[in-house]
Amino acid sequence: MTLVSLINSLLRLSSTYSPILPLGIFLYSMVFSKISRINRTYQPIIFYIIFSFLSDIISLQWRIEGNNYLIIHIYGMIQFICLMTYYQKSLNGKSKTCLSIGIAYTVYYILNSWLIEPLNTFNSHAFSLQSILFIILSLLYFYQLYEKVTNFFIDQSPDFWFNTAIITYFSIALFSFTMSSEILSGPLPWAFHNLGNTLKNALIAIGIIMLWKKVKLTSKI
Amino acid sequence: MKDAEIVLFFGTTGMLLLTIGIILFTYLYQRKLVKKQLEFKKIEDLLKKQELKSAYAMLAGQEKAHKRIAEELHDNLGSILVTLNMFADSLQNKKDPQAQKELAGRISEIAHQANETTRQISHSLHSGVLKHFGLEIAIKELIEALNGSDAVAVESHVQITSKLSSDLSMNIYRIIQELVNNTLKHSKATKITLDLNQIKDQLSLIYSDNGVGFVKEQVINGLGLKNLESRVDKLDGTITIESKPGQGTTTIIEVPVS
Repeated sequence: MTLVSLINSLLRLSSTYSPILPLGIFLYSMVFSKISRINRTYQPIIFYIIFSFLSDIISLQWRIEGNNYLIIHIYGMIQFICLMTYYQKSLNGKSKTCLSIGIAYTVYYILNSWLIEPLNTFNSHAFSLQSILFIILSLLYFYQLYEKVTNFFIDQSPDFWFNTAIITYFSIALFSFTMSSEILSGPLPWAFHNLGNTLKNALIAIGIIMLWKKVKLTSKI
Repeated sequence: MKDAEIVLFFGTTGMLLLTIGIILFTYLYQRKLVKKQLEFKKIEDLLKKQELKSAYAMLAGQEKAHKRIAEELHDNLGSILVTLNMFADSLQNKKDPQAQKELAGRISEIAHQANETTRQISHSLHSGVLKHFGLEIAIKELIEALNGSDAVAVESHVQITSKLSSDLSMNIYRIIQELVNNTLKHSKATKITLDLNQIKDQLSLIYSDNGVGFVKEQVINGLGLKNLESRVDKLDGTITIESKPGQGTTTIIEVPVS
Protein backbone atom coordinates (compact mmCIF):
# COMPACT_ATOMS: atom_id res chain seq x y z
CA MET A 1 0.00 0.00 0.00
CA THR A 2 1.49 3.36 -1.04
CA LEU A 3 1.49 6.41 1.22
CA VAL A 4 -1.04 8.18 -1.02
CA SER A 5 -3.50 5.30 -0.92
CA LEU A 6 -2.99 5.00 2.84
CA ILE A 7 -3.81 8.69 3.33
CA ASN A 8 -6.79 8.28 1.03
CA SER A 9 -8.10 5.30 2.98
CA LEU A 10 -7.61 7.07 6.30
CA LEU A 11 -9.42 10.17 5.11
CA ARG A 12 -12.30 8.09 3.72
CA LEU A 13 -12.57 6.15 6.98
CA SER A 14 -12.44 9.28 9.16
CA SER A 15 -15.03 10.98 6.94
CA THR A 16 -17.42 8.02 7.09
CA TYR A 17 -17.21 7.43 10.81
CA SER A 18 -16.63 11.00 12.06
CA PRO A 19 -20.40 11.61 12.60
CA ILE A 20 -20.10 9.14 15.48
CA LEU A 21 -18.30 11.88 17.46
CA PRO A 22 -21.12 14.52 17.46
CA LEU A 23 -23.80 11.83 17.66
CA GLY A 24 -22.06 10.15 20.59
CA ILE A 25 -21.72 13.46 22.44
CA PHE A 26 -25.35 14.26 21.69
CA LEU A 27 -26.61 10.90 23.00
CA TYR A 28 -24.35 11.17 26.06
CA SER A 29 -25.67 14.65 26.83
CA MET A 30 -29.26 13.48 26.31
CA VAL A 31 -28.78 10.68 28.82
CA PHE A 32 -26.81 12.63 31.42
CA SER A 33 -28.63 15.94 31.18
CA LYS A 34 -31.98 14.13 30.96
CA ILE A 35 -33.17 16.36 28.12
CA SER A 36 -36.50 15.25 26.76
CA ARG A 37 -36.44 17.53 23.69
CA ILE A 38 -34.13 20.06 22.09
CA ASN A 39 -34.76 23.55 20.76
CA ARG A 40 -36.34 23.49 17.30
CA THR A 41 -33.52 25.65 15.88
CA TYR A 42 -30.98 22.91 16.55
CA GLN A 43 -33.13 19.91 15.57
CA PRO A 44 -32.16 20.17 11.84
CA ILE A 45 -28.45 19.96 12.76
CA ILE A 46 -29.00 16.75 14.71
CA PHE A 47 -31.11 15.26 11.89
CA TYR A 48 -28.42 16.34 9.42
CA ILE A 49 -25.73 14.44 11.33
CA ILE A 50 -27.94 11.34 11.59
CA PHE A 51 -28.73 11.37 7.85
CA SER A 52 -25.11 12.11 6.99
CA PHE A 53 -23.96 9.08 8.97
CA LEU A 54 -26.69 6.81 7.53
CA SER A 55 -25.98 7.86 3.94
CA ASP A 56 -22.23 7.33 4.42
CA ILE A 57 -22.81 3.83 5.76
CA ILE A 58 -25.35 2.93 3.06
CA SER A 59 -23.28 4.40 0.21
CA LEU A 60 -20.20 2.56 1.48
CA GLN A 61 -22.16 -0.71 1.08
CA TRP A 62 -23.59 0.37 -2.30
CA ARG A 63 -20.15 1.43 -3.54
CA ILE A 64 -18.85 -2.06 -2.81
CA GLU A 65 -21.77 -3.53 -4.75
CA GLY A 66 -21.62 -0.96 -7.56
CA ASN A 67 -23.04 2.55 -8.04
CA ASN A 68 -24.00 4.71 -5.03
CA TYR A 69 -25.07 7.89 -6.89
CA LEU A 70 -28.77 7.39 -6.08
CA ILE A 71 -27.94 7.67 -2.38
CA ILE A 72 -25.85 10.80 -3.05
CA HIS A 73 -28.77 12.42 -4.93
CA ILE A 74 -31.16 11.69 -2.05
CA TYR A 75 -28.62 12.77 0.56
CA GLY A 76 -27.94 16.05 -1.29
CA MET A 77 -31.61 16.98 -0.98
CA ILE A 78 -31.87 15.96 2.68
CA GLN A 79 -28.68 17.89 3.50
CA PHE A 80 -30.12 20.98 1.81
CA ILE A 81 -33.49 20.75 3.63
CA CYS A 82 -31.85 20.25 7.05
CA LEU A 83 -29.37 23.12 6.73
CA MET A 84 -31.82 25.50 5.05
CA THR A 85 -34.33 24.86 7.88
CA TYR A 86 -31.56 25.65 10.38
CA TYR A 87 -30.73 28.94 8.64
CA GLN A 88 -34.40 29.84 8.30
CA LYS A 89 -34.62 29.70 12.09
CA SER A 90 -31.25 31.15 13.05
CA LEU A 91 -30.89 34.07 10.61
CA ASN A 92 -32.86 37.04 11.95
CA GLY A 93 -35.29 38.56 9.44
CA LYS A 94 -34.25 36.20 6.63
CA SER A 95 -36.96 33.58 7.11
CA LYS A 96 -38.88 34.39 3.92
CA THR A 97 -35.68 34.70 1.85
CA CYS A 98 -34.55 31.27 3.08
CA LEU A 99 -37.96 29.79 2.24
CA SER A 100 -37.87 31.26 -1.28
CA ILE A 101 -34.31 30.05 -1.89
CA GLY A 102 -35.31 26.65 -0.49
CA ILE A 103 -38.26 26.24 -2.87
CA ALA A 104 -36.30 27.50 -5.91
CA TYR A 105 -33.34 25.23 -5.20
CA THR A 106 -35.54 22.18 -4.57
CA VAL A 107 -37.23 22.67 -7.97
CA TYR A 108 -33.82 23.11 -9.62
CA TYR A 109 -32.43 20.04 -7.81
CA ILE A 110 -35.26 17.80 -8.98
CA LEU A 111 -35.09 19.10 -12.56
CA ASN A 112 -31.28 18.73 -12.54
CA SER A 113 -31.46 15.12 -11.31
CA TRP A 114 -34.16 14.39 -13.85
CA LEU A 115 -32.88 16.14 -16.95
CA ILE A 116 -29.23 17.27 -16.67
CA GLU A 117 -27.32 15.07 -14.20
CA PRO A 118 -29.34 11.85 -13.93
CA LEU A 119 -29.38 9.48 -10.95
CA ASN A 120 -26.56 7.31 -12.34
CA THR A 121 -24.08 10.23 -12.34
CA PHE A 122 -22.67 12.53 -9.67
CA ASN A 123 -24.76 15.74 -9.53
CA SER A 124 -21.77 18.08 -9.52
CA HIS A 125 -23.71 21.25 -10.49
CA ALA A 126 -26.32 20.84 -7.77
CA PHE A 127 -23.72 20.20 -5.06
CA SER A 128 -21.55 23.13 -6.25
CA LEU A 129 -24.53 25.48 -6.18
CA GLN A 130 -25.53 24.16 -2.76
CA SER A 131 -22.00 24.81 -1.46
CA ILE A 132 -22.08 28.40 -2.71
CA LEU A 133 -25.52 28.94 -1.14
CA PHE A 134 -24.42 27.67 2.26
CA ILE A 135 -21.16 29.60 2.16
CA ILE A 136 -23.23 32.76 1.55
CA LEU A 137 -25.73 31.90 4.31
CA SER A 138 -22.98 31.17 6.84
CA LEU A 139 -21.27 34.44 5.87
CA LEU A 140 -24.60 36.19 6.52
CA TYR A 141 -24.69 34.57 9.93
CA PHE A 142 -21.16 35.81 10.68
CA TYR A 143 -22.17 39.28 9.52
CA GLN A 144 -25.11 39.06 11.94
CA LEU A 145 -22.64 38.24 14.73
CA TYR A 146 -20.40 41.12 13.64
CA GLU A 147 -23.28 43.61 13.69
CA LYS A 148 -25.05 42.47 16.84
CA VAL A 149 -23.10 42.96 20.07
CA THR A 150 -23.89 40.02 22.32
CA ASN A 151 -23.11 40.01 26.01
CA PHE A 152 -21.28 36.68 25.90
CA PHE A 153 -18.22 35.33 24.11
CA ILE A 154 -19.31 33.71 20.84
CA ASP A 155 -17.15 30.64 21.35
CA GLN A 156 -19.74 29.66 23.98
CA SER A 157 -22.49 29.75 21.38
CA PRO A 158 -23.45 26.47 19.63
CA ASP A 159 -24.49 28.48 16.55
CA PHE A 160 -20.96 29.86 16.14
CA TRP A 161 -19.56 26.33 15.97
CA PHE A 162 -22.33 24.99 13.72
CA ASN A 163 -21.73 27.84 11.26
CA THR A 164 -17.97 27.38 11.46
CA ALA A 165 -18.54 23.70 10.62
CA ILE A 166 -20.82 24.51 7.69
CA ILE A 167 -18.61 27.19 6.13
CA THR A 168 -15.46 25.07 6.62
CA TYR A 169 -17.00 21.99 5.03
CA PHE A 170 -18.53 23.72 2.01
CA SER A 171 -15.43 25.90 1.40
CA ILE A 172 -13.21 22.83 1.34
CA ALA A 173 -15.69 20.72 -0.64
CA LEU A 174 -16.63 23.36 -3.24
CA PHE A 175 -13.69 22.68 -5.55
CA SER A 176 -14.10 18.92 -5.11
CA PHE A 177 -17.76 19.16 -6.16
CA THR A 178 -17.00 21.46 -9.08
CA MET A 179 -14.12 19.33 -10.36
CA SER A 180 -15.60 15.94 -9.48
CA SER A 181 -15.06 14.46 -12.97
CA GLU A 182 -11.34 15.39 -12.96
CA ILE A 183 -10.48 14.29 -9.42
CA LEU A 184 -12.12 10.87 -9.74
CA SER A 185 -9.21 9.77 -11.93
CA GLY A 186 -6.56 11.44 -9.70
CA PRO A 187 -4.46 9.89 -6.93
CA LEU A 188 -6.58 11.27 -4.06
CA PRO A 189 -10.23 11.16 -5.16
CA TRP A 190 -12.43 13.16 -2.73
CA ALA A 191 -9.51 13.57 -0.31
CA PHE A 192 -10.25 17.25 0.34
CA HIS A 193 -13.97 16.56 0.66
CA ASN A 194 -13.31 13.81 3.19
CA LEU A 195 -11.00 16.08 5.15
CA GLY A 196 -13.68 18.81 5.13
CA ASN A 197 -16.35 16.37 6.25
CA THR A 198 -14.20 15.15 9.16
CA LEU A 199 -13.49 18.73 10.23
CA LYS A 200 -17.20 19.58 9.95
CA ASN A 201 -18.21 16.73 12.24
CA ALA A 202 -15.52 17.66 14.77
CA LEU A 203 -16.70 21.28 14.80
CA ILE A 204 -20.35 20.23 15.13
CA ALA A 205 -19.28 18.06 18.07
CA ILE A 206 -17.86 21.18 19.77
CA GLY A 207 -21.17 22.95 19.00
CA ILE A 208 -23.09 20.13 20.69
CA ILE A 209 -20.82 20.36 23.75
CA MET A 210 -21.65 24.09 23.93
CA LEU A 211 -25.33 23.23 23.54
CA TRP A 212 -25.02 20.80 26.43
CA LYS A 213 -23.27 23.41 28.59
CA LYS A 214 -26.05 25.87 27.75
CA VAL A 215 -28.64 23.30 28.85
CA LYS A 216 -26.82 22.74 32.09
CA LEU A 217 -26.88 26.47 32.74
CA THR A 218 -30.48 27.14 31.79
CA SER A 219 -31.97 23.69 32.50
CA LYS A 220 -33.62 23.69 29.07
CA ILE A 221 -32.37 24.13 25.53
CA MET B 1 0.67 17.07 -10.88
CA LYS B 2 -2.08 17.60 -13.43
CA ASP B 3 -3.60 21.04 -14.02
CA ALA B 4 -6.91 19.95 -12.48
CA GLU B 5 -5.16 18.80 -9.32
CA ILE B 6 -3.26 22.09 -9.06
CA VAL B 7 -6.52 24.04 -9.39
CA LEU B 8 -8.16 21.76 -6.84
CA PHE B 9 -5.29 22.09 -4.37
CA PHE B 10 -4.86 25.84 -4.57
CA GLY B 11 -8.58 26.53 -4.90
CA THR B 12 -9.43 24.49 -1.82
CA THR B 13 -6.51 25.89 0.18
CA GLY B 14 -7.50 29.43 -0.81
CA MET B 15 -11.11 28.87 0.23
CA LEU B 16 -10.01 27.32 3.51
CA LEU B 17 -7.69 30.22 4.33
CA LEU B 18 -10.40 32.74 3.46
CA THR B 19 -12.86 30.91 5.70
CA ILE B 20 -10.39 30.75 8.59
CA GLY B 21 -9.74 34.49 8.12
CA ILE B 22 -13.44 35.37 8.27
CA ILE B 23 -14.10 33.16 11.31
CA LEU B 24 -11.07 34.51 13.17
CA PHE B 25 -11.96 38.12 12.38
CA THR B 26 -15.55 37.70 13.59
CA TYR B 27 -14.40 35.84 16.68
CA LEU B 28 -11.70 38.32 17.68
CA TYR B 29 -13.82 41.39 16.87
CA GLN B 30 -16.78 40.11 18.88
CA ARG B 31 -14.51 39.10 21.76
CA LYS B 32 -12.99 42.58 21.85
CA LEU B 33 -16.45 44.19 21.90
CA VAL B 34 -17.76 41.95 24.66
CA LYS B 35 -14.61 42.52 26.76
CA LYS B 36 -15.01 46.28 26.36
CA GLN B 37 -18.71 46.06 27.23
CA LEU B 38 -18.00 43.97 30.35
CA GLU B 39 -15.23 46.36 31.42
CA PHE B 40 -17.52 49.35 30.98
CA LYS B 41 -20.29 47.65 32.95
CA LYS B 42 -17.81 46.96 35.75
CA ILE B 43 -16.85 50.63 35.88
CA GLU B 44 -20.49 51.74 35.75
CA ASP B 45 -21.29 49.39 38.64
CA LEU B 46 -18.36 50.80 40.60
CA LEU B 47 -19.51 54.36 39.97
CA LYS B 48 -23.07 53.48 40.97
CA LYS B 49 -21.75 51.78 44.10
CA GLN B 50 -19.65 54.84 44.85
CA GLU B 51 -22.62 57.14 44.36
CA LEU B 52 -24.75 54.96 46.62
CA LYS B 53 -21.99 54.97 49.24
CA SER B 54 -21.94 58.75 49.19
CA ALA B 55 -25.71 58.92 49.41
CA TYR B 56 -25.72 56.48 52.32
CA ALA B 57 -23.02 58.51 54.06
CA MET B 58 -25.12 61.59 53.56
CA LEU B 59 -28.26 59.89 54.88
CA ALA B 60 -26.37 58.50 57.85
CA GLY B 61 -25.03 61.98 58.57
CA GLN B 62 -28.51 63.46 58.32
CA GLU B 63 -29.95 60.83 60.60
CA LYS B 64 -27.23 61.41 63.19
CA ALA B 65 -27.82 65.15 63.02
CA HIS B 66 -31.59 64.70 63.43
CA LYS B 67 -31.03 62.49 66.44
CA ARG B 68 -28.74 65.06 68.03
CA ILE B 69 -31.28 67.82 67.36
CA ALA B 70 -34.05 65.74 68.96
CA GLU B 71 -31.85 65.25 72.02
CA GLU B 72 -30.94 68.95 72.15
CA LEU B 73 -34.60 69.95 71.80
CA HIS B 74 -35.68 67.61 74.56
CA ASP B 75 -32.82 68.10 77.03
CA ASN B 76 -31.84 71.71 76.47
CA LEU B 77 -34.50 73.83 74.80
CA GLY B 78 -37.29 71.82 76.45
CA SER B 79 -36.01 72.47 79.99
CA ILE B 80 -35.44 76.19 79.22
CA LEU B 81 -39.04 76.50 78.00
CA VAL B 82 -40.36 74.74 81.11
CA THR B 83 -38.41 77.22 83.30
CA LEU B 84 -39.71 80.08 81.17
CA ASN B 85 -43.28 78.84 81.64
CA MET B 86 -42.75 78.58 85.40
CA PHE B 87 -41.46 82.19 85.65
CA ALA B 88 -44.34 83.44 83.48
CA ASP B 89 -46.84 81.79 85.89
CA SER B 90 -45.03 83.33 88.90
CA LEU B 91 -45.13 86.76 87.28
CA GLN B 92 -48.95 86.72 87.28
CA ASN B 93 -49.00 86.18 91.09
CA LYS B 94 -46.46 88.89 91.95
CA LYS B 95 -47.96 92.21 93.18
CA ASP B 96 -44.74 94.01 94.05
CA PRO B 97 -43.57 96.10 91.03
CA GLN B 98 -39.91 95.59 91.97
CA ALA B 99 -40.34 91.80 92.14
CA GLN B 100 -42.27 91.94 88.83
CA LYS B 101 -39.43 93.88 87.22
CA GLU B 102 -36.86 91.37 88.49
CA LEU B 103 -38.89 88.41 87.24
CA ALA B 104 -39.43 90.06 83.86
CA GLY B 105 -35.65 90.52 83.63
CA ARG B 106 -35.15 86.79 84.37
CA ILE B 107 -37.79 85.89 81.75
CA SER B 108 -36.03 88.04 79.18
CA GLU B 109 -32.71 86.38 80.07
CA ILE B 110 -34.19 82.86 79.69
CA ALA B 111 -35.89 83.82 76.40
CA HIS B 112 -32.50 85.02 75.16
CA GLN B 113 -30.96 81.72 76.28
CA ALA B 114 -33.72 79.83 74.39
CA ASN B 115 -33.00 81.88 71.31
CA GLU B 116 -29.26 81.12 71.57
CA THR B 117 -29.95 77.38 71.96
CA THR B 118 -32.24 77.42 68.90
CA ARG B 119 -29.46 79.10 66.90
CA GLN B 120 -26.95 76.47 68.04
CA ILE B 121 -29.29 73.61 67.09
CA SER B 122 -29.89 75.20 63.72
CA HIS B 123 -26.16 75.51 63.11
CA SER B 124 -25.62 71.92 64.21
CA LEU B 125 -28.27 70.75 61.69
CA HIS B 126 -26.63 72.67 58.89
CA SER B 127 -23.07 71.50 59.51
CA GLY B 128 -24.01 67.89 60.34
CA VAL B 129 -24.56 66.87 56.70
CA LEU B 130 -21.31 68.50 55.68
CA LYS B 131 -19.39 66.75 58.42
CA HIS B 132 -20.54 63.34 57.23
CA PHE B 133 -20.19 64.04 53.55
CA GLY B 134 -16.62 65.39 53.58
CA LEU B 135 -15.60 66.22 50.00
CA GLU B 136 -12.03 65.09 50.41
CA ILE B 137 -13.04 61.62 51.64
CA ALA B 138 -15.68 61.27 48.93
CA ILE B 139 -13.12 62.12 46.22
CA LYS B 140 -10.57 59.78 47.76
CA GLU B 141 -13.10 56.92 47.75
CA LEU B 142 -14.05 57.61 44.15
CA ILE B 143 -10.39 57.52 43.09
CA GLU B 144 -9.79 54.31 45.03
CA ALA B 145 -12.75 52.70 43.26
CA LEU B 146 -11.43 53.80 39.87
CA ASN B 147 -7.89 52.60 40.57
CA GLY B 148 -9.33 49.31 41.77
CA SER B 149 -11.14 48.79 38.46
CA ASP B 150 -7.88 48.36 36.45
CA ALA B 151 -9.53 50.29 33.65
CA VAL B 152 -7.81 53.58 34.31
CA ALA B 153 -5.06 54.88 36.59
CA VAL B 154 -5.85 58.03 38.56
CA GLU B 155 -3.30 60.41 40.04
CA SER B 156 -4.71 63.03 42.34
CA HIS B 157 -3.86 65.90 44.62
CA VAL B 158 -6.60 67.35 46.80
CA GLN B 159 -5.96 70.26 49.15
CA ILE B 160 -8.89 71.96 50.83
CA THR B 161 -7.91 74.43 53.52
CA SER B 162 -11.31 75.52 54.90
CA LYS B 163 -14.68 73.97 55.51
CA LEU B 164 -16.73 74.14 52.31
CA SER B 165 -20.49 74.56 52.27
CA SER B 166 -22.47 71.36 51.67
CA ASP B 167 -23.91 72.79 48.44
CA LEU B 168 -20.45 73.61 47.06
CA SER B 169 -19.05 70.23 48.16
CA MET B 170 -21.94 68.39 46.52
CA ASN B 171 -21.60 70.31 43.26
CA ILE B 172 -17.81 69.87 43.08
CA TYR B 173 -18.25 66.14 43.71
CA ARG B 174 -20.90 65.85 40.98
CA ILE B 175 -18.65 67.79 38.57
CA ILE B 176 -15.79 65.36 39.20
CA GLN B 177 -18.16 62.41 38.73
CA GLU B 178 -19.38 63.86 35.42
CA LEU B 179 -15.78 64.39 34.23
CA VAL B 180 -14.85 60.81 35.17
CA ASN B 181 -17.97 59.51 33.43
CA ASN B 182 -17.10 61.38 30.24
CA THR B 183 -13.55 60.03 30.32
CA LEU B 184 -14.67 56.45 30.81
CA LYS B 185 -17.46 56.61 28.26
CA HIS B 186 -15.78 58.41 25.42
CA SER B 187 -12.05 59.00 25.81
CA LYS B 188 -10.51 55.47 25.95
CA ALA B 189 -8.02 57.03 28.36
CA THR B 190 -5.64 54.99 30.50
CA LYS B 191 -4.64 57.81 32.83
CA ILE B 192 -6.49 60.58 34.68
CA THR B 193 -4.89 63.42 36.64
CA LEU B 194 -7.00 65.34 39.16
CA ASP B 195 -5.85 68.43 41.05
CA LEU B 196 -8.22 70.18 43.46
CA ASN B 197 -6.70 73.09 45.31
CA GLN B 198 -8.11 75.80 47.49
CA ILE B 199 -6.14 79.01 47.34
CA LYS B 200 -7.67 81.50 49.78
CA ASP B 201 -11.28 81.95 48.62
CA GLN B 202 -10.81 80.28 45.24
CA LEU B 203 -11.25 76.58 44.48
CA SER B 204 -9.39 75.36 41.42
CA LEU B 205 -10.01 72.00 39.74
CA ILE B 206 -7.68 70.81 36.97
CA TYR B 207 -8.78 67.53 35.44
CA SER B 208 -6.99 65.91 32.52
CA ASP B 209 -6.94 62.56 30.72
CA ASN B 210 -4.71 61.03 28.05
CA GLY B 211 -7.63 59.83 25.93
CA VAL B 212 -8.56 60.30 22.28
CA GLY B 213 -9.75 63.89 22.78
CA PHE B 214 -12.42 65.51 20.64
CA VAL B 215 -13.24 68.44 18.42
CA LYS B 216 -15.02 70.92 20.69
CA GLU B 217 -17.43 72.13 18.01
CA GLN B 218 -18.71 68.59 17.49
CA VAL B 219 -19.64 67.91 21.12
CA ILE B 220 -20.57 71.39 22.26
CA ASN B 221 -24.23 70.39 22.61
CA GLY B 222 -23.52 67.11 24.42
CA LEU B 223 -25.58 66.58 27.56
CA GLY B 224 -22.49 65.80 29.69
CA LEU B 225 -20.84 69.15 28.84
CA LYS B 226 -24.09 71.06 29.35
CA ASN B 227 -24.48 69.49 32.81
CA LEU B 228 -20.95 70.52 33.68
CA GLU B 229 -21.44 74.08 32.48
CA SER B 230 -24.73 74.40 34.31
CA ARG B 231 -23.19 73.20 37.60
CA VAL B 232 -20.23 75.56 37.25
CA ASP B 233 -22.62 78.44 36.41
CA LYS B 234 -24.63 77.66 39.52
CA LEU B 235 -21.46 78.13 41.57
CA ASP B 236 -20.58 81.40 39.77
CA GLY B 237 -17.45 79.73 38.45
CA THR B 238 -15.66 79.45 35.11
CA ILE B 239 -14.91 76.38 33.00
CA THR B 240 -12.27 75.96 30.28
CA ILE B 241 -12.02 72.80 28.21
CA GLU B 242 -8.93 72.13 26.11
CA SER B 243 -9.06 69.16 23.76
CA LYS B 244 -7.74 68.04 20.39
CA PRO B 245 -8.18 64.67 18.67
CA GLY B 246 -5.46 62.33 19.86
CA GLN B 247 -4.14 64.70 22.51
CA GLY B 248 -6.41 64.05 25.49
CA THR B 249 -8.62 66.53 27.30
CA THR B 250 -7.93 69.05 30.06
CA THR B 251 -10.73 70.76 31.98
CA ILE B 252 -10.01 73.71 34.27
CA ILE B 253 -12.72 74.87 36.67
CA GLU B 254 -12.40 77.88 38.98
CA VAL B 255 -15.05 78.40 41.66
CA PRO B 256 -15.24 81.05 44.39
CA VAL B 257 -15.49 79.79 47.96
CA SER B 258 -17.92 81.97 49.84
